[in-house]
Amino acid sequence: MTVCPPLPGSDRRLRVAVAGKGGAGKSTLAGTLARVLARRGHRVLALDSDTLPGLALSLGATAPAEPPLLAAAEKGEDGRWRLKKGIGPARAVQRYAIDAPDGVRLLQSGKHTDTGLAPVMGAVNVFYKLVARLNEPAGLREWTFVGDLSAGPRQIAYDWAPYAERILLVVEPTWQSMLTARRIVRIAATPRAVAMSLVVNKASGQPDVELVEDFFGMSALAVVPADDALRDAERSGLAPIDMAPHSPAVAAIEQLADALAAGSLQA
Amino acid sequence: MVIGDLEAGIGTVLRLQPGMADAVVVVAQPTAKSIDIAGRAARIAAAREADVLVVANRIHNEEDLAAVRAELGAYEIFVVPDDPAIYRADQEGLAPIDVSSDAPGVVALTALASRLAGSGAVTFRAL
Amino acid sequence: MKIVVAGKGGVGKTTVAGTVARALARDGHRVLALDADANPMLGISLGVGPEETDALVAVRQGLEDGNSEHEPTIEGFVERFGTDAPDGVRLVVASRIDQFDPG
Repeated sequence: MTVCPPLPGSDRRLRVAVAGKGGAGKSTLAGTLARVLARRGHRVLALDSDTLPGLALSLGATAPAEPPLLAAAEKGEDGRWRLKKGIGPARAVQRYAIDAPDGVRLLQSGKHTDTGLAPVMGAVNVFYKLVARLNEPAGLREWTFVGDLSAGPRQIAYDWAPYAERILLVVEPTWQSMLTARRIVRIAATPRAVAMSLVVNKASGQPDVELVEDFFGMSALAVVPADDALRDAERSGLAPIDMAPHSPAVAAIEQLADALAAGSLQA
Repeated sequence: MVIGDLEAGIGTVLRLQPGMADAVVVVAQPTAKSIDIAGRAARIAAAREADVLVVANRIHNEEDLAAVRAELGAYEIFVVPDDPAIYRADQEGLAPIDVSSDAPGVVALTALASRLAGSGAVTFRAL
Repeated sequence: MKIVVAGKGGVGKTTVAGTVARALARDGHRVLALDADANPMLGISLGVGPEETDALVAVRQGLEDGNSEHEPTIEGFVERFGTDAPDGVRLVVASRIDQFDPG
């Protein structure tokens, strides 16, 4: 593990959202990337918009049974959920984010209970409200955000990552994954300038990479190989960076972090 | 016979009314995340009076199967091994059954189909 | 008989649904395959082809956009929005990716 001294200036902080078809490996990538960046000196806020478990496991964090953000939510006179008085994005990160290793903070949406989302709707609602305002506070200006955009094209369409300066499209070498990513690209064609980069995941060799690159007509920013060590980590529910720090997949994610840093310096 | 491919997660099984589905096929891979969700989906489906069957997908080895069994062992499990024919189908955009009808994964799913067809009344909706 | 396939995103629900549908059809059953995913891909696993499958979504949206009248019967719905897949399976894409229900 190399620890780099923090570079001056806000250019180095990153604002990344990870998108792609379900199962492509978004949470695994987002969680591992968050830990890698934290080890390089970033102040990292991980954002988990999924209503089912995922990102916390990849980060190596323990999520409490009750979503912390529920305590930040209340119903107004109109019956609608809102943030409690005095709670904005900075305070929410301070008080209601979950601790992950390497100093990463994790802000989670509400998660399905066995009776559904109703018991945690407050947390789901205020999570969305907070995500929309993450660019506001001066206190978060130097933070790096790594967001996990779950469930395919839907969240992109609702602009669940307005903080993102770069969207990482995670694509497996399958038609289902490629078509979904293409739908995401089309839906995300918004006026707001956001860079989209391709990450080929679970690649078993160069033909897999070419399949995806040819489909999109663009080079991949990173290629993460299919990796047995990663599979074992996934089976156990442990963070790949803890269970398999020297695996090819984690090495590829470290290279991705290099590429993102180089990209942000050029921007 | 109507086969519905539901949206991912447990939201849709939660909205199933008792009697809406005769059988719920719950699919899991050997990952902690998918097994957790599959377990929940199975419990919810069983509570809604559906027959629950499990597909353990992309099974490489005994540890993979054991992980699925640990959570879902109470149900009938159809094991789909990591199958090169299915992998090839995904890469080429083909139906697995068209790549090979005797590939191990396809055989397992054909057995599941027989099991579904053989269980209970088969009603042909007036379509 | 009504069968639904459930699970976490990416586990292979669509592959399972599509392959089971084709196997049942080969066994002589009349099969209706319903794609209720917000991101419809069932056509691929049924053997309809990727670009065809992608085009189906557009057709569905186009038909609805151009005609404000809802289809009153299931038969009518299947007739209008269905497409033929191999072995006589009938595929209906029941979702629209530009229409989202929150939560």
